[in-house]
Amino acid sequence: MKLSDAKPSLASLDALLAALTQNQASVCLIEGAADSKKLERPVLSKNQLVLPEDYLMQGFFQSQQSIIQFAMLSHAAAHLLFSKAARAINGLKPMGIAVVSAIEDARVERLMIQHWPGTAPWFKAALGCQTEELGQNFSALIHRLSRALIDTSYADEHYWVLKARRLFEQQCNEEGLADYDGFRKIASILANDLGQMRVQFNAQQYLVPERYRDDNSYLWDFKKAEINAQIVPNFINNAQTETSKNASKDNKSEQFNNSAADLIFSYPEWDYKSEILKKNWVELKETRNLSWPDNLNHRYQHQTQGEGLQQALVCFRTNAKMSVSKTRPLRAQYEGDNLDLNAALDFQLSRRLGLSHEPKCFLRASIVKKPATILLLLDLSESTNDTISTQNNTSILDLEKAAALSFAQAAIQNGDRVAIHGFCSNGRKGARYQRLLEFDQVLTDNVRAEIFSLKGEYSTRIGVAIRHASNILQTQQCDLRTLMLVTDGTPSDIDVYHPDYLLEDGKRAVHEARLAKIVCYGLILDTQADRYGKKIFGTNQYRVINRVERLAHHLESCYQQLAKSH
Amino acid sequence: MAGRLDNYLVTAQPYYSEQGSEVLHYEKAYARRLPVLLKGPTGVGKTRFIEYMAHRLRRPLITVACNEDMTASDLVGRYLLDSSGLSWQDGPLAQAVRYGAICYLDEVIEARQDTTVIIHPLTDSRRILPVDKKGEVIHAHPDFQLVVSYNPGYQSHSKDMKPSTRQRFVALNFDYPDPEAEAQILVQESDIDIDIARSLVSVGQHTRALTSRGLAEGASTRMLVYAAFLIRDGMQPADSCEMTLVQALTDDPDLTLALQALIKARFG
Repeated sequence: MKLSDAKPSLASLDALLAALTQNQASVCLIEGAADSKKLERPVLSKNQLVLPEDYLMQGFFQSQQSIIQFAMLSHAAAHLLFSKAARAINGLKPMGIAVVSAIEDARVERLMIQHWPGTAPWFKAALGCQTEELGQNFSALIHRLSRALIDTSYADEHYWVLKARRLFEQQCNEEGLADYDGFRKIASILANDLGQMRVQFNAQQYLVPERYRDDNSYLWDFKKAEINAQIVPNFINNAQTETSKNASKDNKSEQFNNSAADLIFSYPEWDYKSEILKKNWVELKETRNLSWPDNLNHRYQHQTQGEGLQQALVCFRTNAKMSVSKTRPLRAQYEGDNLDLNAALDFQLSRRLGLSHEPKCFLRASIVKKPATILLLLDLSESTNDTISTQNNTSILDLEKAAALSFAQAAIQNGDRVAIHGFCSNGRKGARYQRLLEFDQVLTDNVRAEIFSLKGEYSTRIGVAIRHASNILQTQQCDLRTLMLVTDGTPSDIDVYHPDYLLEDGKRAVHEARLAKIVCYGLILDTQADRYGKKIFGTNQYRVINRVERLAHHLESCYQQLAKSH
Repeated sequence: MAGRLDNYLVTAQPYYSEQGSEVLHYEKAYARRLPVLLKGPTGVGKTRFIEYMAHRLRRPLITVACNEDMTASDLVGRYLLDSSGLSWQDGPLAQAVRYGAICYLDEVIEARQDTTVIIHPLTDSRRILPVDKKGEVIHAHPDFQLVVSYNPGYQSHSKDMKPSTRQRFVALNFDYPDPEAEAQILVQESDIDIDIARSLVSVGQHTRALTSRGLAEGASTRMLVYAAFLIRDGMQPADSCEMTLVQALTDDPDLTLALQALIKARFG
């Protein structure tokens, strides 16, 4: 299949941006809320490219969709690689900002083409298939300027565009593309010309003309400028891409009510600043599922109707190939597929010496099974209640649970031992740990129903959960112990204010688990997880999952990776 | 040696581009006959390095590719029956110990731990190899040295080296070369144009960023050399990369598309 005919998924675009920027940034879709302003252009930050929700819909770009999407990624990568972020406004007016931004867009695209020559056709194609009606106004001129600066075959007789092209090429030839200040001067001249030409500019309605380019908010620091409605142009998207990870304290379902089945544990926590392990610092309450109300079954049936959940549930059922367990050849067998050379020689020797010896001369494969013991630890914090609009408003936690159940079912069928546990925290005295499915427990509908009834609450104190899970795993009599942790973001808790504190504690907890011969692997449902995933789990020991619906696929793939490495 | 291991001599000098002081450091270790552990990702030149050193030191090199079905007999040797009766056949390790070669256990982590413990008496001051079946203790030839390699990227705790084994070795770490050095390796190996070599290296480097997106390992220098070979033989760079990098690295459709786009961005 030609690349131009491909239908890139969010995951492939994310991987492309990660590759081009050496893991500087990831891609995510923003889902528009009814009460928020629709995002018109992609928004770039230092570690994320946020795409409007319709940018991946088939037919959004009327032709060459994949090529324009690649151009969009390359343009974002170009900014990340060659633009300085958050420059001061220094008195620039909105029209000046728009012109300087357009010149900067062209400068970094030309630099990108120098480093990645294959991006030139992508940029030209994306600039050439502009379908929005621009007219003879500011937007049209900016678009013609952008196209003229990138596409040498594009002919434009407008005096201002010709002048821009001449000045731009002159600057390229004389000073090179790295000289930002030189290009800024050109932009000032061109903006001044537009002023003299009396070209109308409406800051409230203006959008960056090219749909594949970001809104250029990456380039400017509006906070440093004096707060003035005139200074922050409306064409800069006001995207709300951050979701609060801290759990709110109100409106809790209190699924962790004290009961007779609760056990209280004390665990240490690593304070990286003072480099001490604070003994008995965190109190963890462990809850087990003991009661099974009948109505839960109905809830389970109802809750698994969503398309994404069904996909997650069937994912493992259809895959019979995976198993961490490994077959090994049995030596010295009466019959088998291959000759066991040592046993055969021993037999022949014994026979010649006249000794009695049984003819056990064969190797027999696929007999011995070495079951793995896998503990799947789910993040049950408040943030997992966030819904995904593309999945019929299914929550992240619902998809987590569906994927975990499918995974457990398939692994159990393959002869491995699986437990599903969950965790959340409400301060250092309020860590919670819930044992949802025990090792060797039958996965009945009641268990499924109980798991599906859970709601996310509180925060994510990851270290204590790993320590407790690690202790549970160490009580299991087996050769292979694996802890797979599914979380949706950076560790946080209400009584921790330094962002690195819980990361460092998590790293320490993983290290302790590995010293106990437990394989620890992280699956992180956060497109920005590169910042902390490597720190907690180590290189190649975690995976960034940018689409929650794909969690089941990633669990399966990690499981197969485990099978290969054992 | 008396000509017994002549077949194991590295006759032509292999090309090896020194990345740091590893040649000097290895020579120092060899002078003391210290066992050496070579660690690093796949395809960065660990095996090439040991071949280069064997040639430089004029020692025979006996290489064993370890696997999990390998038994101690596969290393030490076994009795064989022939027309004249019973004869002992030295395994590769016993040969190296007896006649003074460098024995290179490639991917030693793949061998079971109960197999690798037989190297313990060889890797301390005793330098002996007990051969139980024969009732013999082979004292290592003065020129014998044991070298093992492994890839920490594949490491899992069930397969980790036991500390009692690991601490018998001195270790040299190998990593992907600097971009310019890697490009020069491609030029040297395949006689390719330096600009194309630099482009290939750039693609290779950027694939290595994808390990956090599910790619087991990025493109190795060896893969880039393969790509360079095919380009040198007339294949289009994009086609060569598709064959040697994209399809070889992953089966995942998302990663495949991302890698294809990355290569397209480089070569058009």
